[in-house]
Amino acid sequence: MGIRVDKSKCTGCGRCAEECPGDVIHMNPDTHLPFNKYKNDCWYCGVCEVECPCGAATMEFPCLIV
Amino acid sequence: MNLERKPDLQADLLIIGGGTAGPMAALKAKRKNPALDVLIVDKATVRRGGSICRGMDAFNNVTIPSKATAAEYVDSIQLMSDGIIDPNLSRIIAEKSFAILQELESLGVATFPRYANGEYMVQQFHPRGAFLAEMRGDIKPVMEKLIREAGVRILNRTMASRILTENGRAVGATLLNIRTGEFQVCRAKSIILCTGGQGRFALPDTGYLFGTFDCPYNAGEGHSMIYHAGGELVNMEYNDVSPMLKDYEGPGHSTFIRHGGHLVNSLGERFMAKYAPEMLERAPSGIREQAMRTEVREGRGPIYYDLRHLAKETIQIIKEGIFAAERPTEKQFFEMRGIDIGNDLIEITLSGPNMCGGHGPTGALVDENAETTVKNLFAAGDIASTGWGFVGAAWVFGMIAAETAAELNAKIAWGSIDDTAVQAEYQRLLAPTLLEDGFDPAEMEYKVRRIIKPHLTSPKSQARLESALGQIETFRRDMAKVKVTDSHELMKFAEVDAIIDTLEMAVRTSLTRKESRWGYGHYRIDYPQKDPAWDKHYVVAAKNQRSGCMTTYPKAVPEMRMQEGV
Repeated sequence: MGIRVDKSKCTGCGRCAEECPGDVIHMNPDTHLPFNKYKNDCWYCGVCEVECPCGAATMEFPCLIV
Repeated sequence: MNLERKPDLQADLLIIGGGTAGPMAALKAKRKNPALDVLIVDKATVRRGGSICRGMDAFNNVTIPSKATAAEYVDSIQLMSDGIIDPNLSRIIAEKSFAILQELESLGVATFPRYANGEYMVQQFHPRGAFLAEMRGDIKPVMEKLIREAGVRILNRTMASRILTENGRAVGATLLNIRTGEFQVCRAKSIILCTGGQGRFALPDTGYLFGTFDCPYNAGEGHSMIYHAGGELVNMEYNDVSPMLKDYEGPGHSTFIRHGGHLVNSLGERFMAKYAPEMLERAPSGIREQAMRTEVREGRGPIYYDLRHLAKETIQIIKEGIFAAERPTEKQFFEMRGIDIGNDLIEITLSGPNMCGGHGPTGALVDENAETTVKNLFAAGDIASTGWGFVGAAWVFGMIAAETAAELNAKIAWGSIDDTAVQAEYQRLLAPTLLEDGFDPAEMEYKVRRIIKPHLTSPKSQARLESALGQIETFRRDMAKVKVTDSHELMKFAEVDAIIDTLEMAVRTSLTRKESRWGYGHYRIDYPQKDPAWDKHYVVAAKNQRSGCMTTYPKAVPEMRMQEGV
């Protein structure tokens, strides 16, 4: 699945999109928030979570895993 | 989308892949010659790309002098590979791995927990000898910082698609930026391929294309690049199959087993005693796979890990290793399922088959300098056939490849780039962008990968392998119908093409090795016995340069050169 974003905490810095190894996460140019552009390519590695400097990112498993 | 041709790049040394082996190669090349112009490219980022993007719980093949010997390591790998791995490569890994551990420790890249008496925590996973040292740390960002500081140029979100050659020698590569769709050529005096294994191969039991054990972003493009450049790949008939946490398809096996965990069937029996009474869970992987499949076929499945007899302190070390260092999201998975690994049985299934030089014998044929059979083209890590190399081979041969390339640099002249080859590659990547309608790359990928388990899982048969060849032909035809809408999908188009190449290698080499070896690693129902004529012989997959078709042939495995102490 990819990233789940807590909009109240996200500053739109883009670290998650910059580092996501699967190129899953991109930044929405209008909202400046990250979104899962290619959610079916997620390896659920959790890099988005660990790279987020403000605790706004949670890794969400793909539906076929849960 | 627009596939834009950008001006050429140039580097003394081009490293393709910034996972485990690549950054080590970059660092060592700069140490050897700080003036060397080193460029490293990665499809993801060097900071987080590759199989160990979150770390690794063990330096899983290090020979620490007081704990094990090089002879034991060579013996273990010979036993696991049944003689089909160059023992000289194993000896090199054994001899050079401990210095790398010490260096990683002193550089602050990783830490290695020790017991109260000061000794490293080392456990046995191999049939003979203890080679797995507990390891902690967020390795990748530290390595990335080190190579940046050393002056290595880094190009992220950039995949290589073909190696360019001149008279059998690598002289450059074609690159594609997977976010911008820019295409460019990089000239190089030498190239090190560190693109990982073929992790995106058989469909996992999760039913999810990217729910794989090995990193799914490693789709065998390196294997494909070596093949098209005229290099040789070996042991591609070997089925790399590992026990997986059911539904997560994640690691745990080497951690659980080295700390004394058991494999049990649904009757609670420690069934490996029937199949490998002495080695038990530490038996070579093909023997273990055969045992697990037999148990399930005969109605004694599912199979579980049983850690309930282990001491609390041991469970704690296991949890630290997997949950904090290797795959932290496994912690979330277990919590979600309500599984406490110290108190509950852990249900498992089987992965793959995949192709991973870290977990088996497959990959590019390399010599003791990590050079492939294409001149000035090196390969290190999961892409190379260095025999269950894990991180140890990636680091040792990443270092050796870089030091060799750095040393050769002054003696190598720049090659010339064949513009016809560049144009052909540009057209190959352009074609799917021009279609008005067509298949999605993901649909094509599913179509290809769904045949791997049914056709390649042991027992294999001539009829099923030949039928797979027929399907491969239709896949190649249908690739012309794949349409891409953006550069991310273009990456996937190139990846699916590599998946088809590696599938053809697996099928053709499986047909060629008319014997059975490695338990279910390669079990032919029509040739169920080991044939001594195949002892000490690889099956090579390579491209016939005249016909352009895939060819396979036997090739002798090098003998162990006499060395004091081995």
